[in-house]
Parts: sequence; C-alpha cells; structure tokens
Amino acid sequence: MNRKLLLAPAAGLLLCCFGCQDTVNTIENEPQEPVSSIRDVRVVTDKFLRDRLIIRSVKMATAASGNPVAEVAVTNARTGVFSQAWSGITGENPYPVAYKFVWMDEAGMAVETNLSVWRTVQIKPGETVFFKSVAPNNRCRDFLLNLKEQE
Amino acid sequence: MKFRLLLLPAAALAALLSSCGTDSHYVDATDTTVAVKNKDRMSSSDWVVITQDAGNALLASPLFQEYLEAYAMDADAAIKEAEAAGEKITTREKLTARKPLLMLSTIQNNTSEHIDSKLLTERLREILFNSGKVRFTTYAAGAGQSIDAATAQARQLKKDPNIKKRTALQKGTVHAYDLSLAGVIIKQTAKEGRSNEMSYTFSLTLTDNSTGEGVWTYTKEIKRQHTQAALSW
Repeated sequence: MNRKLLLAPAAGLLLCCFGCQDTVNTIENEPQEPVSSIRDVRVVTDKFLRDRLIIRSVKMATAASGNPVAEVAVTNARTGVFSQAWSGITGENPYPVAYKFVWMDEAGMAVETNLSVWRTVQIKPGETVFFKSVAPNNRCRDFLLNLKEQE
Repeated sequence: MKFRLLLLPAAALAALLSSCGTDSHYVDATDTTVAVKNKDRMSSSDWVVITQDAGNALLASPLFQEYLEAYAMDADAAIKEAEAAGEKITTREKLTARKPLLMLSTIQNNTSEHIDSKLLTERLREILFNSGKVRFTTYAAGAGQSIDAATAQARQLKKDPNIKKRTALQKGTVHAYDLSLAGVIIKQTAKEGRSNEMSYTFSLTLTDNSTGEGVWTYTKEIKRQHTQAALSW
C-alpha cells in the first residue's frame, strides 16, 4: 500500500517532466550531396559545448559577388528530460551560444574588419541554426569559426 | 610580537583600499557578448551588430553585383569614347573608373533619441571600399554625414602667391558621385508588467543616381528585451 502511495507522485513527477519538454523537431529533404563541402579541422577545448552543440555541416561557396561565403549548421542537442531540466535550472534554455568568424587571406593571415565580431544566438532545444558569414573581399581563402557557451 | 600585531590591521587596510579602487580597462569593442547595453536606448553593440548584418548582405547581394558589372562595362565604353574624342584620361582615372563613386546620403532618424548615424554609414563605407567594389567621395554628403572641405579649399590655393602654379588644383576635376547610401532608423517599444522590449528597424538603400533606381535594399530589426527586477530602484 505504502509503495503504491509513493509510486503515484513519482509517476506524476515523471509525467510533469515529460510534459515540460519544449523541443524543436525538424524536417528536410534528404541531402543529395555531401553534407559538408569542405574538410574541417576542429580544436575542442570545451567538451560540454561539443556534446551540446552538434555541428551538422560546414560549407563554403562563392557568392555572386565573387566573395567566399561560409555557413556552419549547428543543432542544440540539449534535449531529453534531464538535459532540459538542467539547462532550465541553469538558465540555459534556450541555449545561449556566442560565435565569431575570422577570414584569412591568401597568406593565411587574419583579415580584421567590421564583419568579424562576437555575436550571441539563443538556440531552442532541437533547433538547427546557420551561422553565416561573407568574406570581406574576394582575396580571402579560408575562415575560422570560434564558438563558446555564453554565460 | 608588537610588530606582528601592527601588520594585521595594515594588511586589512591595504586590502580595503585596493577593493575600493576603480578599474578601467580596454575591452574588445567588437565583442557584443560582453558589451554593456543601455536598457532604453541604442548602445554601441547595436551599431556593431547592424553593421555586420548589413555588410554581409551587401557583399553577397547578386543584384548589387549585377549593377557593378554593368557599371564597369559602361565605364570602359565611356573611356574609349572620351579618348576617341581627344579627351586626355589620366592613369588614375583609368584605374578607378570601373568602380562607382559612393556618397553617404542622409539617414533619417525616426526615433526620439540623439543618434549619430555615422556609426553605421562610415563602417559600411569602409566595408564596401575595402572589398574593392566602390570608390567613395568626401566632397559631397547628406545631412549628418562628414564632408572634407579640403577638396574645395585646395582650389582656392591657386590665388595664393606662395603656391607653385603647376601644383595648384584646377577647377572642374572633382568627380560626381554615382551611388548614394541612404536610409531610416525607426524605434518601437513595448511594455508588459516588468518586461520591456525595444526594437530598432534599419532600412537602408543604395541608389544609382544616374537613374534614381535602387540597386540594393536592406531592412533589419534589432530587438532587445529587459526585465526589471522585482526589487529595484
């Protein structure tokens, strides 16, 4: 009898947790081409960020203007009961992430412009966002994307 | 022993004094994530954000690129025509003629705040100029933008007896602009209980002044929310 009495609130709590989930589902056409258009190198210093923010694709193309364009697609993987409950407690739902693009010239040196700034985005659980940047000129060859959790 | 007893309050005093000191240090002006933001008016980081967004849109615009390519073709034809007519075209003009000349026109301020739109226009001009797509003029500008009076003053030097005649600048050599950057900034606010919302809408246009047609247009709203603490004064 006692066990039954305990089970009822536990089930209620579980239901409540599931009910509190507020995540984003996505649908897209199946990619016909490789997901990423370039081979990337990643330097991970924050393993939590790596696991919470999944990098889905890294693309680079040339805009009509001749300037290179970079686009990185990321998904907030902080879904599920416990992950969402924790991010809710820590005030990180939606997930605040900061990013900054840096473009390099032919010599591989950074080109400092007004286009290279730290920005913040709020990403809903399950949501995919696209970080995009246009190179400041058509002599740029490579880019680097800095990512960090925003406190 | 007495010496040690004296050391303790001295250390405490030193700690107290150091904590009372004010700290002023440089921060990265392009880091909008740590910037202090005014809760009820435009902040430095808002200009940084809108400059980046508008700059990216401008550099990637296919229609603006179409205009630039057509301009370059027309410029080539005009130079050939002028040379055929016997006009002397300088090397400098030949080098730069394929790029349109940009003028910063007026940014209308439809907010109740004092806004210096040069914080946006001059940064956008720098992005465009450094991308190699346009030239810019400092001879003419819209209301609220900077003009360099030196170009006009340089023509006055011709009358100065100390000036070598050959180096004095001639009248009729300043180039007329081809493109103008104009726009409007609109502010909207909303309030519900302790929550406040403030947004700025930036609407920018680049106009081909030979035809009066727009070659690029961009509208972006920057929105910030602020919730007042329950116990605040």
